[in-house]
Amino acid sequence: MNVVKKVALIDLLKGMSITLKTMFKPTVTVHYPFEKVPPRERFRGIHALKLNPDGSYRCEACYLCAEMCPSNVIDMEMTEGKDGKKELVDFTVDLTRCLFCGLCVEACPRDAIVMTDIYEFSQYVVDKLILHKEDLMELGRYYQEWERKRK
Amino acid sequence: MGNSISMAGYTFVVEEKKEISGEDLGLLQEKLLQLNWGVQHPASGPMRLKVWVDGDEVVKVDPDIGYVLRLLEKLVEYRTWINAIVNVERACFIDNFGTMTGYSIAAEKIAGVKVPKKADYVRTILCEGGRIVSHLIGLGSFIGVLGVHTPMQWALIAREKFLDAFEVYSGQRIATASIIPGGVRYEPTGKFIEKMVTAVDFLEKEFIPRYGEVFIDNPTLKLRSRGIGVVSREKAIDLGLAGPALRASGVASDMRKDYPYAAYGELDFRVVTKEEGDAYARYLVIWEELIESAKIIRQAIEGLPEGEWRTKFPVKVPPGEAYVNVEWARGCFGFHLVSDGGTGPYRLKMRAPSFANLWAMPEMMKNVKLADVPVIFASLYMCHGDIDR
Ligand code: SF4
Ligand code: SF4
Repeated sequence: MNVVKKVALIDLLKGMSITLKTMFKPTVTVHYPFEKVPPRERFRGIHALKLNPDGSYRCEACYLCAEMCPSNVIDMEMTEGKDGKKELVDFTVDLTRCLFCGLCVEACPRDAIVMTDIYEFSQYVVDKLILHKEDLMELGRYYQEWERKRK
Repeated sequence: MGNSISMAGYTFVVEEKKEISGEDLGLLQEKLLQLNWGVQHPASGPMRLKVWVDGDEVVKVDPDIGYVLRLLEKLVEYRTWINAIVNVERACFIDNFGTMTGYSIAAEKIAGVKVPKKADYVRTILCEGGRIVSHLIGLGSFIGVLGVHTPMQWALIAREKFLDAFEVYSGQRIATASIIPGGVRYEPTGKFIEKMVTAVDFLEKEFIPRYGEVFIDNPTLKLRSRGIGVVSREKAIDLGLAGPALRASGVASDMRKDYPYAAYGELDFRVVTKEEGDAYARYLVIWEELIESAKIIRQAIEGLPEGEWRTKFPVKVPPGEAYVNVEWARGCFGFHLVSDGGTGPYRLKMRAPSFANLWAMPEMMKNVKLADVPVIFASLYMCHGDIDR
């Protein structure tokens, strides 16, 4: 039996038949920079600060997101505004350290900090990876646009 | 001769006078050759084995670890109870759900929090998903070290379906950070369940028959792995092996059955054991556990109850300590968590299964052929992130 098997190359043919079958199956990989898989709904990309309809930011500088962050990514500077409320001077997100865990979003009581679906944010300069208030508000506009489209 | 060895991925140590002393010096004086297996060996991962060989026979093996040390246990001390999960999950990325579940159960035990039933079921589904993902890589890399890379690609195709389900659930494919003390972070939506069922369907209908036909009852594979690295039942217990390596020696030790956590107590499954205790038996245990895990996921999805998936976890936890074992993909993972009444853990000690397997390895590699070193190494199913932590 063994000799017959060897002479007739049964094992080899068995293997080759699988190769042949697989050849005509569709590929499972994606040609990345040219084709892209859209991220899922809950995808955790880079951060954004959501805006009110009148264009002001929703954040009231309560510091809860910074407290929750496991790697001290978020920092903010604030002053006292006109009506005694806290006002943001700067809000920085240091993407070089961020884990994209989304715990800051969960901690925010005012739904002010959100995560967009942007995952391509490589830069040549490290400083550009530190997002400031203006960048985050710009991203907030993008986020709201994207949210509206999704609905 | 020199050429052939360096081409196979080994490098000579020309002279290492200062480091060597004691027994190692004795070995060198007996004209034994020391080879560095790793760090750049295709099969070793970030780890170096010092292998002393006499011709083709291995005389002594000494693992040199620490290339991926991240001090996770220390980092946890600077975290709050909730956000410590991001450090715990990084013990090993491949199956991160198991470690997060263990940590969460330990924290809940100290705080006296009871999680909703739905959270338990979702944890079970995710843990089994993680186990399947990890076992797929284990299967693929086992044959990978023998020089065939197709099975790894096949396994990755099946794994991709599960990663897709994880992304739908948590928003991230690998570092999901989805299980926290007090339950699970996200609601298991219908879409997630649908994706999980698709993944299990693909695994059961496509991957298992196709892979099983070629790479399980494979004569070449049997030739390379049967009777290699045999550990008897008594020896396995003495060495403190964990996970599939322990069960392949005939010890039916499985935390899911012995000390049920999450929803495992209510589900029906079998503990896979094998009697032979060699590399091939370990490979088969991983293979059959894959099939078993798929069944568990189906049962858990069927029995998924309604209700809440997360309860409030207190900011400050009363002083106390807890020890929790979970059956992680690579074996029994222990968490010793201590609280001093603060907002975060006072101390966390992780007992890693891969570490236990690693220090059993030199014993198993005595007097084997050099070509069997990768086979035994891969069959022990270790993760480097887990060894170093
Ligand atoms: S995603 Fe995580 S690591 Fe990044 S800023 Fe938010 S909490 Fe910090
Ligand atoms: S938690 Fe929200 S409101 Fe508070 S500081 Fe952070 S972004 Fe602003």
